[in-house]
Amino acid sequence: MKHPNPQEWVAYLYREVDSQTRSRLEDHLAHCESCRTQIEQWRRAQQHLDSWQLPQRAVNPPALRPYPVLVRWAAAAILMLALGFALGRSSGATSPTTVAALREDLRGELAELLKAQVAESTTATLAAAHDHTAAAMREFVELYQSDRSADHQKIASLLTRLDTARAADYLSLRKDLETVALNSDVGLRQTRQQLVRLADYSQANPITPTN
Amino acid sequence: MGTSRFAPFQKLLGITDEQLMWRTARHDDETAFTSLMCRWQSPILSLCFRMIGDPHRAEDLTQETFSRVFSQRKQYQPKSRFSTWLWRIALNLCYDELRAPQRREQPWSGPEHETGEPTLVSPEPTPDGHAAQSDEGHLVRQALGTLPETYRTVLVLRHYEDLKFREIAEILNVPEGTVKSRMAEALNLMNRRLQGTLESRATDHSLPAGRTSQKALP
Repeated sequence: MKHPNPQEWVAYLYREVDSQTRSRLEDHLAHCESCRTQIEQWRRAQQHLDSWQLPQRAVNPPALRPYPVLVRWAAAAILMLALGFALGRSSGATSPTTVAALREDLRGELAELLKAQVAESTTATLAAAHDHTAAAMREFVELYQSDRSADHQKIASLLTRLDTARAADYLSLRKDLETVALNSDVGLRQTRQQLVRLADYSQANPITPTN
Repeated sequence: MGTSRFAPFQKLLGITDEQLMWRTARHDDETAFTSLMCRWQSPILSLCFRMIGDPHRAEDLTQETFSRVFSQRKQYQPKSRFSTWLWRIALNLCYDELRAPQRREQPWSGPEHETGEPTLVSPEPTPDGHAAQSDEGHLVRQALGTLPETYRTVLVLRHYEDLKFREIAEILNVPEGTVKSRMAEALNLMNRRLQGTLESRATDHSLPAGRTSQKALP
């Protein structure tokens, strides 16, 4: 019988063989007494090795815990919960009548407290709303006024421009009129000269009627 | 250098050791290096303790390992796995420690060897089971200390650090078959040594109390 070599056996012991090899080795073990003894010895050595455990302190230094803050907070929260629970449990040991009376008292107090708080919050809310409205109005008025002044300025500038344009028009009209007047004056003078010349000419050569 | 609060997130996001080491080497990124330390401090400390057998020296060696990683960061080859490189550095420091001259004077096994209460190790759990187990653990620690370095290394890396034979072969730069052979031999050696010690202890325990106390006297 051909025995598997120690290399195969240690791989088997540390589960580093594929399923095919494993079943082959296990088949062999079922039939081979000497290999079984050897494997048992190695397994015993493994068990001995397992008995040396390192102290937790040496493996996990406390300085390297990733969530010290979180853990501290969680611990605090748990402590508070436990304290509250313990208090609740200890105060729960009173008689039922006191409990009922206490409950009545508490109910009245709570109702008053609630009423006072509601009133307070309503007043506060109303005041706040009023303030808000006033502020909004002020803002609106300011905006409106600023808008209006802007409009005024625009209109004024437009008017000025219009005025200037009218003045320019007036000037050009006057110039035109003057030109026309000058032209007509010159024309009149020429006509008059022509008339005078014509009169002179007719005096010098009286027109004789021709037959 | 504070502990990075982002370390767990980086792990979640799948930043590999190699990427962290690259950032440490290229940009002297202290946060990346701190993350690496958070990941690897515990395994390296455990390796040093198993190899040396002294928790205080193991802590010193762990510190030394990481300071060496940081000082040699420019020599890291990104092609190879970071863990292989790290295990190698730590192992070399352990070898140096084991071969140091002042170590030869004091044997690996501690002074508790003679003073420990002899306890019979039985396969059934006894009421005194915990004490028996811790005592057996002590014996194992001593027996491991007497193994030759080659066998001890393979045993510690495979059995305690749970590295695959392939990874161990890569770290030690030997064929995988050699690692397996050494492992088989290491288990045989451990068995032989432990059987001897446990049997002698068992016989010591069965002896009359007078003789045991006489033996303990100088």
